[in-house]
Amino acid sequence: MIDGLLLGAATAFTGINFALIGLGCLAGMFIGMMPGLGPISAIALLIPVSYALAPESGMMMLAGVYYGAIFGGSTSSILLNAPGVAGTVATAFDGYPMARSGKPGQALAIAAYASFAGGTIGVVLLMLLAPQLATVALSFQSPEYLMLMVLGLCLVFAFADDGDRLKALLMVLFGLSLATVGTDRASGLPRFTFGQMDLMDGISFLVLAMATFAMTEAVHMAAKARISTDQMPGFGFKTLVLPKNTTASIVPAVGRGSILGFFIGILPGAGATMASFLSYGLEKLFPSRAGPALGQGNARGLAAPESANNAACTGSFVPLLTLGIPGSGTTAILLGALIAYGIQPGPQLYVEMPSLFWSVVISMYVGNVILLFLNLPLIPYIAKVLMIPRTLLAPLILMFSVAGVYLVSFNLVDLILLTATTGVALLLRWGGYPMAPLLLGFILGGLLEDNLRRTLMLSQGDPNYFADRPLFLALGFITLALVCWPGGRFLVSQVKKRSQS
Amino acid sequence: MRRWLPPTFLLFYFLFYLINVDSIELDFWSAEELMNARTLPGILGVLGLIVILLQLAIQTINPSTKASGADDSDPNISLSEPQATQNSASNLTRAQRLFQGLRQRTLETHGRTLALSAFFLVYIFLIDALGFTIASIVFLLIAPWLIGHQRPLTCIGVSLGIPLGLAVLFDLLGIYLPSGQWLG
Repeated sequence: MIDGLLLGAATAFTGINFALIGLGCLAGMFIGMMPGLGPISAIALLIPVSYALAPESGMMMLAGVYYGAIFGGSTSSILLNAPGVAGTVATAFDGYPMARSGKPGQALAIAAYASFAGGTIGVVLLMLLAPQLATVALSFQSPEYLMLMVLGLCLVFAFADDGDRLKALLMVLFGLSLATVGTDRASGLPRFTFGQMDLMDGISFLVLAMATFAMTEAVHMAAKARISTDQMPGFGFKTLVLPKNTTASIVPAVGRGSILGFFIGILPGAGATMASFLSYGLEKLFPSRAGPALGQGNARGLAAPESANNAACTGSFVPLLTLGIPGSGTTAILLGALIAYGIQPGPQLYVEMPSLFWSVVISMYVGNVILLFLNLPLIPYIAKVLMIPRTLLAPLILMFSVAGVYLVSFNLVDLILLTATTGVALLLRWGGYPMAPLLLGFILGGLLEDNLRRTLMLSQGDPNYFADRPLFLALGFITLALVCWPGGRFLVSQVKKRSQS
Repeated sequence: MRRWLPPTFLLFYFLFYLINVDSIELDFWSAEELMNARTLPGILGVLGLIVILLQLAIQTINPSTKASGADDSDPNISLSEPQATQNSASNLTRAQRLFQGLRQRTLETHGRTLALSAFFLVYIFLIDALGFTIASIVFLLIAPWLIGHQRPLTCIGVSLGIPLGLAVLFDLLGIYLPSGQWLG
C-alpha cells in the first residue's frame, strides 16, 4: 500500500495534475452552489474537457469536480433552504435555521469543516479497506437493500416529535405515492399519468425539493417582507472560528457521520442521500446538552449529515474502482468516462493500473484540502447573501428555483407542476405537516419498489428464504427496535411516574 | 380550518390515489406475477387511507389539540382568526384597534403574497413566450416592487445583472437556453 501511495502522490503532485485537481474543485464548487446543478451536471459538463487529458489527469480532475460539487451543494441548502441535490436535503434541516438565526457564517464554516473531515476520514478508510469492503458490498443484495430502505423510512417515524408521528408517517406515504407516478420501471407500464406524456418520466426530484423547501420559504419571506428585516451580526472572518462548546459537540457527530456515511456510501444505490438522512437520524439518539434542539439550528444536526454525505461520496468510489460497479448516478458517469478512456474498471484495475487507482485516491485527499482552503476565505462573502433585503431575496429564490427546474428539462409542464406542488406544500406546512419525510419517501420510493420486487422474485414469497440472511435479520431487528422505541419510551416513563407517585 | 383542511386534502388524495390504482393497465403476464405495477400503489393507498383516518379520528376525539408543529411564524400563512376578537367585550376600543391593526396587516400581507403569486404565474408563461433570460429580467424588475421593495436602482441592477450573468455562464458552459415562442 505504501508503494501505491507513493506512486499516487508522485502522479498527483506534478504541477499540471495539481492544477487540474484545483480547477476541478473550483468549478465543481461553483456549479454545485447553484440550485439544480449537482455533481452529475458538473461532471457531465466537464467530461469533454477531460477527454483531452491523460486518463490519470482526467479522472483526478473529474473526481475534484465531484467533491467540489458536493462541497458547494450545501451552500444553497444552508443559505436559501434550496437543496439542489438529494444528498444536501438533510443539511438544510439545521443549516437553514442556523443561518436565519444570525449565524450564516458559522453554519457555512461548520459545513466546510464537516465536509473536510468526512471526506478525509472517507479517504483514509478507502485506502485501508477498499479491497476488503468490496466483498462486503457484494453481500448486500435486494432483501438487505429493502430492509435498509425500510429502516431509513422508519427513522422518520421513530424520531418525530410525540404529537407528529402520524403526520410524519403520512408524509412518508405521500412521498412514496408520488414516487409511483410515471412509467413502472419493471413493466414499462404508465401509472397515474392520466394520458399526459410529460408525466411518463414521473415527478422530478428538483420540482419536489424546490416546491417543499425553497418556494414555500420564498412565499413566507414575501409575506414577512415589510414586517421585519433580518439582523445578521458577524459576517467577518471571526465567524470561521467555532466556539469551544460547538467544536466539542460536533466532533463526535462528525466522527459518527463520517464512518456511517462511508459504509453506506460503499453500498451501490444507497449513496449520499441515505447516508445523510441516517446520520441525521442517528444524532437524534443523542440528546442535545446545550444550544437549540435538532431541527432548530443545532450544530450537530448540520455537521453530521454534511460529513456523512462527503464520506459517502468517497465510499461510492469503492465499488467503482474495485468492482467496476457504479453505486450512484455520478459514479455511473465516471464509469462512462473510464470506459471512454479504454479502461475497464474492476478487480484488475488495482493491479493493472495502480497509478490511476492510487492517484485518484490521493487526489481525493488533495481535493479536500484545496476545497477547505478555497471555501473558508469565501464564506464571509457568500454568507452576505442573507443581508439582501427580503423584498429582493424572495423573488431571487423564486427565480433560482425556476432556473433549477427549467434549465434541466426546458419543460413548461415541470414549471406548472412546481407551482401546483408549492400550493400543496404550503397547505401542508400550514397544518404542521413536516416536509422532510415527504422528500425522503419520494427519494427512496423507486429504490424501495425495485428491491421489494426483486426480493419477492428471489424468495417466491417463502418466508424461510429470509431466515438464512443474517444481514437482513439484523437490519430487520434494528428497524423493529426503532419502531417500538417511542412506545417503549412511553411505557418506561409511565412506570417511572407510577413508582414515584 | 387549519386543523381540518390539510388532513381533508390528504384524505381525498389517498382516496383518489386508491381508486386510480385499478386504472393502471397490466399486461396479461404481469397480472399473474407476485408483484406487479399495481402492488405497491395498492399497499400505499390502503396504508395512507388507514393512517389519515386514524389522524382524523384522533383530531376528532381530542379537539383541544392545536395543529402541532404548524407554521405560526408567518401571519400570511397562518390565516389565524384575529386574536383581538377573543378579547373581552369590556375593552372594546382596544379590541377594535387591535382588530383593525391585524386586519390591515393581514390584508397587506395577503395582498402582497397574492400579487407575487399571480405575477409568478405570469412569469411561468413568460418563460415559454419570451425565453428564460428576458422573462427573468421582467420578473426581477417587477416582483420586488410588488412586495414592497423601494429601491428602483437596485431592482434594475439585480434584474439585469443576474439573468444576464446566468445567460453568459450557461453560454460558456455550453448549455443551450431556448428563446421564447414569441421570439422564434
